[in-house]
Amino acid sequence: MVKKVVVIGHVDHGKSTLIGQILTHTQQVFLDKIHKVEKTCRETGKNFEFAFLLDAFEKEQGQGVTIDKVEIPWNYQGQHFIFIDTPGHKEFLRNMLSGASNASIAVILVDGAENYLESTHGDIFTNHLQMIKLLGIQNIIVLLNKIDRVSYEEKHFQNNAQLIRDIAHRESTPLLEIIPLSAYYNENIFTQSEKMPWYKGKTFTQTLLDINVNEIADDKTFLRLSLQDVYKRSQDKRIYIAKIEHGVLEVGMSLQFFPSRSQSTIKTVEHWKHEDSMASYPPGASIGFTLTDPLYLERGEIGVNIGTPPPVLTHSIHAGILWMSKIPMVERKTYRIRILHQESDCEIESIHKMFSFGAEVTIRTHKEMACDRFQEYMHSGRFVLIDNHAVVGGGIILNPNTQILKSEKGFITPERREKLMGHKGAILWFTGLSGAGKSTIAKTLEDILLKKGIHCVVLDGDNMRQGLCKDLGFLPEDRLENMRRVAEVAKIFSQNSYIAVSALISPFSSHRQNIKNLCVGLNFFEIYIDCPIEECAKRDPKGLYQKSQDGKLDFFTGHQSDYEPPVHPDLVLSTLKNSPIQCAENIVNFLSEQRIIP
Amino acid sequence: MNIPDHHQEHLWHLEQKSLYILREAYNRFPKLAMLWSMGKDSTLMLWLARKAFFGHIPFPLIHIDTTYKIPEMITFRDQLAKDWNLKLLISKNTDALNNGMNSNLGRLECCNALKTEALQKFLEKNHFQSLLVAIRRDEEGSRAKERYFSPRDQRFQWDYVEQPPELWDQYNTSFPKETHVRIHPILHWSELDIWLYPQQEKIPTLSLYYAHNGLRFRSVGCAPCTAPIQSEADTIEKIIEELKHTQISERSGRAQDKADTYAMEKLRLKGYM
Repeated sequence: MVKKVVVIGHVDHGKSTLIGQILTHTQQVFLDKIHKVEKTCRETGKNFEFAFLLDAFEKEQGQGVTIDKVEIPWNYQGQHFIFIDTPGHKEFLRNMLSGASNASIAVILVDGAENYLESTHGDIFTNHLQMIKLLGIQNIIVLLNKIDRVSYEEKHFQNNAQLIRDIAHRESTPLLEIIPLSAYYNENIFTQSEKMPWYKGKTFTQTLLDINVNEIADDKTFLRLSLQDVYKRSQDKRIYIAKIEHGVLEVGMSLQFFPSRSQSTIKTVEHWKHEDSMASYPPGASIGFTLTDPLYLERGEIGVNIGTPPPVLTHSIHAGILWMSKIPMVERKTYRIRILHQESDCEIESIHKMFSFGAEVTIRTHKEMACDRFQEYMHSGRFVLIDNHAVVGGGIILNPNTQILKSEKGFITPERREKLMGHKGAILWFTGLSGAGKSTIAKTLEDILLKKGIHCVVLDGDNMRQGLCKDLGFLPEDRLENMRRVAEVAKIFSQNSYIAVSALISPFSSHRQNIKNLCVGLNFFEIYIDCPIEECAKRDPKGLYQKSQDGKLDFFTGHQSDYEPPVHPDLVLSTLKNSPIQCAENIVNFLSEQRIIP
Repeated sequence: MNIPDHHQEHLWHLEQKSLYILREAYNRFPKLAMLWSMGKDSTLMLWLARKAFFGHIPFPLIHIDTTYKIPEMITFRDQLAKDWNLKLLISKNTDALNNGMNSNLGRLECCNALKTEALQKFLEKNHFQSLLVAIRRDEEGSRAKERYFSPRDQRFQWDYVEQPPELWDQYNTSFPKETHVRIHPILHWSELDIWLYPQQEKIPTLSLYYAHNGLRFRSVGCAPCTAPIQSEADTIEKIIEELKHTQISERSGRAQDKADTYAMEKLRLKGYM
């Protein structure tokens, strides 16, 4: 069995250098290719770049980045490997996932010379772990590269390794090894490094050799075949074309097909060459068979052995999705879902939790789908989502049949409620730096509106974090989840004709776009509370800027994580020039222009 | 499991995946054709197609005749077409040939005109939307970055920065009508596999690949741009032994690859195989 190893890591952490080093050390790269790279490097005045052995495109070599994944075969000590080198840049995520999706081993490469938490690398590492988990890869190795730059110091390695262990624990993703190494100087790759006598674990290649990836049918998984096509040979001869995904198939087996539920028995397995005939057909086999009854079956049916647990038939799937499109995921929009060869239109009914690269969602399919839980059946437990001819997402089925939730509608229509309340509902989504004046304006606005008899509620960031969101921290994905919860609360108020004001920092534009998508169909306004960072730091109402300067806060907007101002906000309020009362009055006028309030 | 030794198991997995892709292409694209150059790769793909469709290939084969092919290749082509009852279509860029196009006018120009353009015109005229092509990842850098189902625009241009994702073996086969789709069923085979398999299956191969007087072709194309390598390998077993120990890459005898550092990338962006 070939072991497919995907190498993942942030830009410049040394992925291609590592693979280049391994290939050259074991003399598995062609001499003329090395000469070609030497020539290119000489012409462009660079030192020999291992990475160029892998990065083939002119754009890749010119800019020193990997754009697309590449698969490189490597043989070592009688075992066969394929290294999949993937791009680290976020904009090439699709290519990275294409590369990673077929691997059984994931190697996460981290620049071990950096100090882990003082940069955003902790987040990137978390994202990579979540991604690997959603792709269903079980064997994970972490390499702390560039250890030569910190003089092979043990303490430095141990600090970083502990942080990595903490993150892996939090994501409940077990790691096989954490290895200190130098890809460039070939330390701890093939032999135990003399420069790091303190490291007692396995070398990188030894770890790879020891992993067992044998996934060929054990007795625990039952047959799952996926019908690809039907070739009609004569009036009563149909050859059913299928791929064996799990279990084994034998002539004489009684099968049931889903979703159609029809049954028959395998009569023959057809071959062009008699020698290709086998006693039983294992996973991976692409076969043509005939049935004792010439059933009318469509592409997409899943065949199982009668008497074994069938797949789940469902309209509603709880899933983890990796999102690969530049266009964000939209609730209630129609996508096309594909599970093996079955296809159906579907909607993302609700988003439960968001990650940087995807989300946990409930998908509602129009057609009944046959599928399995990913943990039990890998192939019939995953899917892709297609939008306008493009694959936009892929994921794994966490629970194939969720309790179907129906939206319960009240007796009062929105129009009647508006009449009773005297105004419409709206969501005012403030965004701005800490100290820009979001809370002050919100409180002032609330005061003015309530005096006018207009129902208003303020959802303050700090207050929400003491209750509904008290389990969340300040990492980007915690912030996103915090925003999502506040948005859901704001939605309820807005649907009930309240003016809901959210006063969170909301630093990232992609997160704000996600929130806008959640609120499609409602009166949602993004309001930018604009104030220069120097002024915010001077005001510093909570003393946060001071603490951050003293190094007591790790993730504080304006210092370590960046604030991205909105490009097209619905309203901009400058608190440098205007008083809180003036700003609040501006909003009142705006609401009246928008015909939300009289 | 009843797949005997490691080699056979390895080849079986390669074969099954290719059969699956060939059948997927046939199911998804009504206007499908297969490119056949008579070389070892496309002849192997042709063999796999016979296996996938139980002896009868349900779509035509296209040979792009540059008229500069080594004569033995044409004899081989006509013999197999007859023996295997193939539906073979032959395409030439007669305009360019009448204007005297040849590799002395520039190797890249010649490839572009006599292969890429010839193919493009032929597919357009015959309304083929999709094409099975026997390229492999290990042949050359830009081929290594390919997808199994690879969309090109109407003018054949390849946008390698914006390639679609290909997750697991969920191949996206839904494309806008005007998209030209290249399908690569043997993308995952290596040069060694491409010899082990014909040895096992007894697939006919061009005699050019076997050593005559100390020379053999490792990769064949047009006579002016293909050079033989020094070799004593005059049987398939000896070729396999040679490949296990070589330090030189497969296409080193192909002149167009060397015309420029990024020659293949430049050719392929425009629609070269």
